[in-house]
Amino acid sequence: MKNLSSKRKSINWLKIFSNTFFVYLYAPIAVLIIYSFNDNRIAQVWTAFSTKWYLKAFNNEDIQRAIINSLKVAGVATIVATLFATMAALVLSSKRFRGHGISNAIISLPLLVPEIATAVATLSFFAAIEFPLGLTSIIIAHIVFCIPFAFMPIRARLSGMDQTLQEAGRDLYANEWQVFWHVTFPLLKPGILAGAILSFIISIDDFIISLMVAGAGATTLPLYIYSMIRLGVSPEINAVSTVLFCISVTAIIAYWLVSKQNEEKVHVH
Amino acid sequence: MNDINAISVKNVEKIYGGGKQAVTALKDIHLEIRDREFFTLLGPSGCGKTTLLRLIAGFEQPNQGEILLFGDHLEGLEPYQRPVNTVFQSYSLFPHMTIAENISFGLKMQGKMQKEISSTVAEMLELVKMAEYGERMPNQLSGGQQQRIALARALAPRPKVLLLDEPLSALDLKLRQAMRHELKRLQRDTGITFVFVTHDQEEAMSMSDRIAVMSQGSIQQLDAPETIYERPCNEFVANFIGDVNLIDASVSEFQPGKLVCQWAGSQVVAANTATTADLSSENRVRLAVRPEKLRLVTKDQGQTNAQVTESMYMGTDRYITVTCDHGENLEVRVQNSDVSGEVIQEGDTVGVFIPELSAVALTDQQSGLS
Repeated sequence: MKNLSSKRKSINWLKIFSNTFFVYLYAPIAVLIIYSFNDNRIAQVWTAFSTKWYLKAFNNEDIQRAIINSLKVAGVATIVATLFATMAALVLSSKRFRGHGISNAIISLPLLVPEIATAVATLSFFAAIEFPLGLTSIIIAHIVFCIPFAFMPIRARLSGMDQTLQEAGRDLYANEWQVFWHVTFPLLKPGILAGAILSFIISIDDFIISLMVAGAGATTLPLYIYSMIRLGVSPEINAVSTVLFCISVTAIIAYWLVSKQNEEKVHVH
Repeated sequence: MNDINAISVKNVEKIYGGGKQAVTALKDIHLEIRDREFFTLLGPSGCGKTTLLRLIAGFEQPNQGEILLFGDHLEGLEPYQRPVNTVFQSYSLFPHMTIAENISFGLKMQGKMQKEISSTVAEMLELVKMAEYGERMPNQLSGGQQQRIALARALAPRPKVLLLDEPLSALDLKLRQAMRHELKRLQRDTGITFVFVTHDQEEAMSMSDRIAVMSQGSIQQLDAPETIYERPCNEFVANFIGDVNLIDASVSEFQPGKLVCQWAGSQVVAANTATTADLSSENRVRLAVRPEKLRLVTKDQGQTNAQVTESMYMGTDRYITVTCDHGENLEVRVQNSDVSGEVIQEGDTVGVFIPELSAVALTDQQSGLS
C-alpha cells in the first residue's frame, strides 16, 4: 500500500511539472490571442471583446501587401524547393549514384549553420554579384534554405520504400518513366507533401534572412510586424500576429496529418 | 510441343564488383530449360541461383555468355521488354493499388484494351481462387493471399516464362505445403514454363520436372528429381538432398553401369555412371548410400557386422545408428511396417547389408567439393 501511494504521489508531481511547462510554453501566445480581441486601444488593459482590430488590420493596405508578399515568397519557395529536394532525393537513392553519404551530409548541413551566418553570407553574395534586392532576392534565399527541410521527409520516405516495387514495375512492362509515374511517385507523394508543408512553415515566418535580403517595397509579414512593434505594442499587432500564428498552426496540423499517414503506409509489406 | 528450348543459357558468367573485391557469382553456366517445364534451381544461399534468375529477368547483365528465350537473344533488352514475369520473394504488390489494379498493371503497360484487361483480371482472380478480393488493398490480405495475388499479377500478361524467386519462403509450413499443389496446378493449367528458385530440397523434389543443383556459382547436377536423389553425381549433391552415408571403398572391377568394390573385406556392387578415367589413380572410390537403402540383417549375414549405438523411434520410421566392426558409423532407416514385435535394441549386434546397386559411386570430383 505504501509503495502504491508513493507511486501516485510521484505521478502527481510529474503532472504539476508538465502542466507548468505547458503554461510557460503557451501563456505568451494565449495572452497575444486574447488581447487581440480587446476593445481597448491600450493593449494591456482589457475592457471588452471586439474584433475591430482584425477589421482594422485587414483594411490596412500595408498589412495586405505584407501578407501577399509573404504568401508569394512562401508559395514560390515551397514549390521550387520541393521540386529540387525531390529530384535530389531520387538521385541519391539510385544505386548507380556513388558518394551519396557525403551528398546527404552536404544537403542537410544548412540545417545546422546559424541562420545569421547564412543571412550575412546570402547578403554578401547578392552584393558581390550586384543582384538587386527585392522580392526576387528573398524568394531565392528562401528556396535555398527550404531545400534541406523539404529534402528530409522525402528522403526518409524513399529509403523506407521497398526497392523491389520498382523492379516489379519494370518486370511488368513499365519503362523507367512509367515506373516513376505509376509506382514511385504515388508512394512518394505523402513525403513530398510533408516536405512542402515543412518548407512553407519555415518560409512564412522567416525573419533574419528576409530582413537582410529584403529591398524597398519587399516587406514580408514578419518584417512588417517587427517594424510596427518599434512604435509600441498595439492590439493591431496582436491581431496580425494571431493571423500569422494561425497560418503556421494550420500548416503544422497538415504536416502532422500527412506524416501520420506516411507512417501507416510505409508499414505495408 | 515446341522443339526450341524455352530458355538457353550459354557460357554465362557473372562477376559482381571489380578489382580485388570482385566476386564471381556465376561461372560458365550452361543450361537448357524446355518448353512447359517446371524447372527448379536448387542450392544454398549464395550459390548463384537468384543471380541466374535476375539475369533471365533482365535486372542484371551477364559479364559473358548469352541467354536465349525461345531462340531469341535477350541481350540488351530491358526487363520491361522481355516477355517473362517474376514472382518476388517479398510479393512486392503495389501497396497503393487495389488487388484488381495490381493484376491489371502489366496488361495496362502493354497497352491492352480495357475490355480485355477486365476479363483477364477476372480470369486470373478465378485462377488463384480469390474472385471476391478484387477491390481489397494488399495490406488487407494475409501472406498466403498476397502470394496468390503476386502469382496472378505475374501470370496475367501471359509471360512466355514465369520466374519464381523463393516465393514460398515467407509462408508457414502448412501454407507452404498447400501452395506446392497450387503451383503445380497453375503450371499445368496455364502451360507456362516455370523457373523456380529455392533452397528447400523438399519443395524442389515435390514440384519439379527437372532440378539443377547449384553450388558456388556452378551447376553440380541437372536431372529429374528421382535421378538427383538416387544417383547423385558428387558429394555435395548427395549431402544437400536428403540424408546419406558416405563410405570409402576400393574398386575391383568395372561392369557396364556397375562398379564392383571392396568394402570392409566384402563385396559391394555400386551403381556407376562414370568411366574409368573419372576415378582417382589409387582405385579408391567414395560411395553414397541412403539410410533407407541399407538393411540390417542377422549377424554374419551382411557385408560386415555392427553394433547398434542408437535407436530412435520416429513414428513411421526408426532411425538407427550402428558402429561397424571396423569403426565406421552408419545411419539406417527402418520402416515401421514390421508387426512381429521384434525391435532392434541399442547394444544389439547386427549384420549390415548393402544390396546390389543401392550404393552410388560418386565419380564427379571436378567440383572439388569434398
